[in-house]
Amino acid sequence: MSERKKFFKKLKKEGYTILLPNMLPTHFKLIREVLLKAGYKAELILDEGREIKDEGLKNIHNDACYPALVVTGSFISALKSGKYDLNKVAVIITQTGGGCRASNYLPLIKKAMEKTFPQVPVISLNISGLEKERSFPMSLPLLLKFASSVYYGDLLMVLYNQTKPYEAYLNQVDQIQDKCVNYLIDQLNHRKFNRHKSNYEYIINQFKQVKLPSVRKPKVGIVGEIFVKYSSLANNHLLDFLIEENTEPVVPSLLEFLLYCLVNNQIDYKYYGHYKLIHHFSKIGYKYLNYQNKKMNRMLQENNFDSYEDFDEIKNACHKIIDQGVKMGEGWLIPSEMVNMAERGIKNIVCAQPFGCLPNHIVGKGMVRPIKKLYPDINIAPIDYDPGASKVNQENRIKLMLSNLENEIEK
Amino acid sequence: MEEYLLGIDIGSTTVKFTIIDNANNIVYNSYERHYSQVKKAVLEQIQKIKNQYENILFHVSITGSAGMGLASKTNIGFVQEVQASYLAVKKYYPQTDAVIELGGEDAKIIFISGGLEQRMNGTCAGGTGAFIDQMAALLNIDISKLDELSLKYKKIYPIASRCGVFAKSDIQPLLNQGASREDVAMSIFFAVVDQTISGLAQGRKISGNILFLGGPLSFLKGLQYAFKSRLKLSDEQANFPSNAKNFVSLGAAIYSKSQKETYSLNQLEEIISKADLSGKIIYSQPLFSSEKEYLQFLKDHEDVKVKYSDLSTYKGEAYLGIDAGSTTTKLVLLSKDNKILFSHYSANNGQPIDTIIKQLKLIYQNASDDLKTVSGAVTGYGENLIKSALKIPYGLVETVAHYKAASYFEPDVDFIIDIGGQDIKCFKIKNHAIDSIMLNEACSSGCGSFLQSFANAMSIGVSDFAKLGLYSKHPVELGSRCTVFMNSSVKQAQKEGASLEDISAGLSSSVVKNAIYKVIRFKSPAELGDKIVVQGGTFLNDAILRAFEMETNKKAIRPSIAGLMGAFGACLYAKEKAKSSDSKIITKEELENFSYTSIGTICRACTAHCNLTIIKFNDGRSFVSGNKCEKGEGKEVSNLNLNLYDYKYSRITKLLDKKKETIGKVGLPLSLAMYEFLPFWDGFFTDLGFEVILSNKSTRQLYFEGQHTIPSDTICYPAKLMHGHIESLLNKNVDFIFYPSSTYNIDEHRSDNHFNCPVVAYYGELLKKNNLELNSDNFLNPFIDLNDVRKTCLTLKKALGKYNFSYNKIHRAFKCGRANYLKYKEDVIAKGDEIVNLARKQNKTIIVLAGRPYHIDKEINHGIDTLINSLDMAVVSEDYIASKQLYKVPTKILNQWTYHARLYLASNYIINQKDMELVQLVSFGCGLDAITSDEVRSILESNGKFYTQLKIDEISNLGAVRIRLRSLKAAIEEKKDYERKKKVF
Repeated sequence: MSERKKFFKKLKKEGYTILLPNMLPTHFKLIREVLLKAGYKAELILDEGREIKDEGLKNIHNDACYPALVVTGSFISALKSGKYDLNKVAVIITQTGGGCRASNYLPLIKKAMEKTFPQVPVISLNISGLEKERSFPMSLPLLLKFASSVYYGDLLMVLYNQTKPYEAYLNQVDQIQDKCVNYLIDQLNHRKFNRHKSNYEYIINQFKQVKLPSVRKPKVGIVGEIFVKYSSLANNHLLDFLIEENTEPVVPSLLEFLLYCLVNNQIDYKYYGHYKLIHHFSKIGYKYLNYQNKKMNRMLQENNFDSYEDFDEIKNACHKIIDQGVKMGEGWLIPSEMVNMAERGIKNIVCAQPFGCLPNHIVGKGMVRPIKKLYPDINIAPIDYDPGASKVNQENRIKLMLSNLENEIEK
Repeated sequence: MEEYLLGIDIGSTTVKFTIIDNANNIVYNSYERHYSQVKKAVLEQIQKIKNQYENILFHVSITGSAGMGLASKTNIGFVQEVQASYLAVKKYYPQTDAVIELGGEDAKIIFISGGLEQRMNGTCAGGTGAFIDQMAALLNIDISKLDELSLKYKKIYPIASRCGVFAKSDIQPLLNQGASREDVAMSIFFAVVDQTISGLAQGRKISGNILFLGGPLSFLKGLQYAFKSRLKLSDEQANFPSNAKNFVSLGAAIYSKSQKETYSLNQLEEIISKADLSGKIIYSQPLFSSEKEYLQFLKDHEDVKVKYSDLSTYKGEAYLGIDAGSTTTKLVLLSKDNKILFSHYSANNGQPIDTIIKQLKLIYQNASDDLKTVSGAVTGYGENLIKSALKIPYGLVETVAHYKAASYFEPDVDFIIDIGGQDIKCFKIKNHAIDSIMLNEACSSGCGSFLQSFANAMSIGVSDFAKLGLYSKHPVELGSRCTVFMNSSVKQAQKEGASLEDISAGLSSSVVKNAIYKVIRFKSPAELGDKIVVQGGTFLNDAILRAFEMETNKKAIRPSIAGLMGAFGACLYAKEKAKSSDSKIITKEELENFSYTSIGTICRACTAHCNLTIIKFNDGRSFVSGNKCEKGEGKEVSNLNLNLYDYKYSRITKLLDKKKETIGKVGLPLSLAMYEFLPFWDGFFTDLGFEVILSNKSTRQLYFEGQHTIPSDTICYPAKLMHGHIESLLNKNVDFIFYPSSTYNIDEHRSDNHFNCPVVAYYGELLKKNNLELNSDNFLNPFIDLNDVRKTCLTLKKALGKYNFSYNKIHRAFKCGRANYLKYKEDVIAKGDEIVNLARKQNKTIIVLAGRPYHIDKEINHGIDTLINSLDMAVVSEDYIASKQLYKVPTKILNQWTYHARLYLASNYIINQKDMELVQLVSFGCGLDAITSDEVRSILESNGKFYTQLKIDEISNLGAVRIRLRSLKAAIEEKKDYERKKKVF
């Protein structure tokens, strides 16, 4: 038996708790359930205390990106909390393997952990063949269940965002969401997790309880670096703030990011002849995932809900603004999403990025001007996040962008 | 009842009220500082006008960054402050094309004609009212005096304009070198203007009728002049309204019209006084839980004292020590038995010579005739100037001075931390020698002077301000980043109603956390060792010392002369070194007649055009400063034959001869990746029959020329310079500019992957989209991976489609390019070998200056290479050393960038070379170096080598760099000494 197999067998047998960082609560809750079902003990870190950022600052180079700092901080503060048996706990983190710093999160976390909790293994979740000994063993059924978690998470997210601003009583929508998550867990336990159509139907029907007004609140898009865009811990509850400010947030799906990664393999083949073998698989993967995406979108539309954008459209939007060869970090995805939003009439966009994020100099801040040239009435607020940046400054800048809405109305 | 409109603007430092009556007249304006007590200040204002407007109902709205909390708690309408200005502009100045507003801590711009766009400064951008305050404080004058001085300027010095802290580290040395205060004052204003253009306009041109708003712009004539001259505005185009200070509150008043609710002032007072503004702030442990604890603390720290002796009665030998620091001047006169005869500590107000002369005169007046000042030493930023002016025999680097002083109090000291006005210095001591040095980088300065500026803003002395924190029950948690961030954290705490005591305590612990986590980067208290000496004026504040002990969980030794340690160390050093042959320190008589003049000029010895300050003493001697190399003093640059950086630069810019007949001109920007691949593209295009045209050499001026097309103000300086290179090529009539995009760099087979960094990889895309003069015809940036010859040739064939080259022709050109590139690499290696051999023959230390290919650009490295030469050491580059390491080296991190892999290879190679040390050059804002620097450090340190990192940006002053390099040199020598001694046993 290989070292790796032995290691993961031991994790299961001895009941190690695997800690997951909380990037997207609903998606990751489902992923946790999938892991539980597969025989692993898994736990989502939900704390948001100040000590997370403090531990991050202590243990990660302060100029490293903010997501690395937050993730490391939340691992270490969770381990310090005394909730876990330190000899039977591991942490897991995804790795994409691109040219951005993000591929180094895992080594950075490993370095920090070696100093603080050397006995705690760091597991990599990747499909690029990195970190061979500690990369999480994937099987097709497991992969399909992970994928399903992403679809459901995305579906719940798009429904939540368009209904929450209009809920009839406090937390109505949160209750519906909880109910759906519980339903999905139940389906998982009854081997019905991958029955997408019926599960979609159930979820969509639940959200129909919320009456949407005929005149909707103005929509505000959120794009940006993947972790900061999604994680409320990292972005100071950006989503909640936008809802409080009487807007309807529009957040791209996690699936879009996965599709983007698959397209990049094809681009690398086309441009440089790389990935001669893999690119075929990525083509198949892309087709499959996009088919699922389309299916979900269709059902949303049939039920008069806003759906996600067709990824082919986003891919095409790219040609108006940036070369698809720009593929580090979120690369061409961010400008394409912004252009696509502009075309759909979403005129206000928050571009969330970690302070000093390198790809974002190019694809975030660097594309604001050209996008404004194409769509003069669009407002983009690039917002930097880091442990020192104060919430009041960030909110003030978003408010500035929103005040343009008032000027629009006046016109 | 009549209904009026009330606008309340609560900014970071002030509260402004504006009232508009029902006939649309502005009837009331007020402007008061709030000293962090937002609620109190607003209530006071209301009380002041309550009787005047007794029978009137008000529509009210609040604006301003510190007003958000109050508005949401009271349900009074809130309008974002930029929007408020816009409303007022629309109503009162409808013909305006753009508005520039500088506030206390924010800077804003509104473009009106040609598409409405409103923008505020990003989170990392000082350069505003608070910045000007800070600069005035640095000169120890008030703002109006600063303004007055500025109008008499003769010359503008370039000052880094990105962020207040940066500018400060540019200005301080200028002052210390004796630049005139008039010139510095105006340079400060120009820095603010440049900040506005690069940080706010971000590529959009500011032209037409401009309205200038905000406190500073309303009363600073010098600033008005700077804006007008930089933006080339006529008097008619530049508008400075008289009510600029209240413009935002005016806008809020206009906005309040849309609010249905009305209030009498009594009602308003009630609502606001009821508002609970406390709440979301995060508190930490109080510094002291009881008075008793504080007294115990004082007792624990009282016995680290020096003895004093009377100056007027002392007979015998005495030693003079001067620490001419960045903001303060320290002076000690020490007796033979180490008693202090005289000491002085004061701010130098930008005039260190004058301060020291005054004190020296005092000493001469009071000393007995039998006191003989036999020797002396100077340390600090002003070392060379003071040494030369006052004929002091010795100079030493600060780190050595501090270690000398600390070891006097604790011979076995393990760790020294010094927090001064401008910098934090920490050093570990191993085997009684300085082992590693950590200095704060320009960004995280903050430190003592931050506390000072904040205290000034509150109109309290700094020590009183720090004392307030001792009694805070709930210190505010303010984070640990650069001053700008801390400012906004303070703002947030203010917004939520934290008391001054709590803020003071919070700031003290922020200063400490900054030192611990940003500078020392400490992970466990064990790393500090057992015997810690703390020093520097800042540590004289008990709150700081307490915060340090709480954070590290260690007891620290604080000498009673914590603020004088540098000068004290200098005395000890002078005493140790004194010889009868030492030059005589300036005498009483000479001092009486001493005077000097300073002139600013530009060095013409090379293209760097350093700003020189020449100080002429009245005895005919003179002193030159501001120069980066010896040429400025009229001497030859020494050891230039031991400089691979210099060789690489001249070698790479040597182009091939163009063919007799050319088919067109291609422009190559000498920036970023072109510093590696220029020989390749030169060979490629020359073979195809093009004439290759290079962009102009990088200079500060070139940077300014491209500044208006830079979209991200936090990107690294090398990338920013690229914009200037493009501008220069656009002026050269080339057929097209070529800068390829490359996700992948060449594979040198000694790393896990071979990426470029995202900025180098894709900068072409950014340029094409942000410089309006570029299009797909005159700017080519094909995506290529040089490792795949066929694909690359096909892509290039397509990109150059206009010229109809055959594949074979392109392929041949590719081979020419490759040959030319490989020849270049060979030449660099041969030259490197030559330098290493020569240095070894001459017994000189070899410094591996390890950065990126583009760090050979003199505008980027600011002449650090020649500086190292002048310290009598040789300089080689990382790519040369990396070529000696044939196999991939194990790293803890993912080794996936070609240029960065060379750093690991070089580090790994030198650990076995006794006469080599590595100095890493890091461009500010380079995120990848957060990863590489830790790795390089751990490779070096685990093998007993020093790690030195130099962070560089647009700052052209090498003061801090010089200290680091000299400390490194001193440490190398001490280590050699130690090893020599060890051999004896």
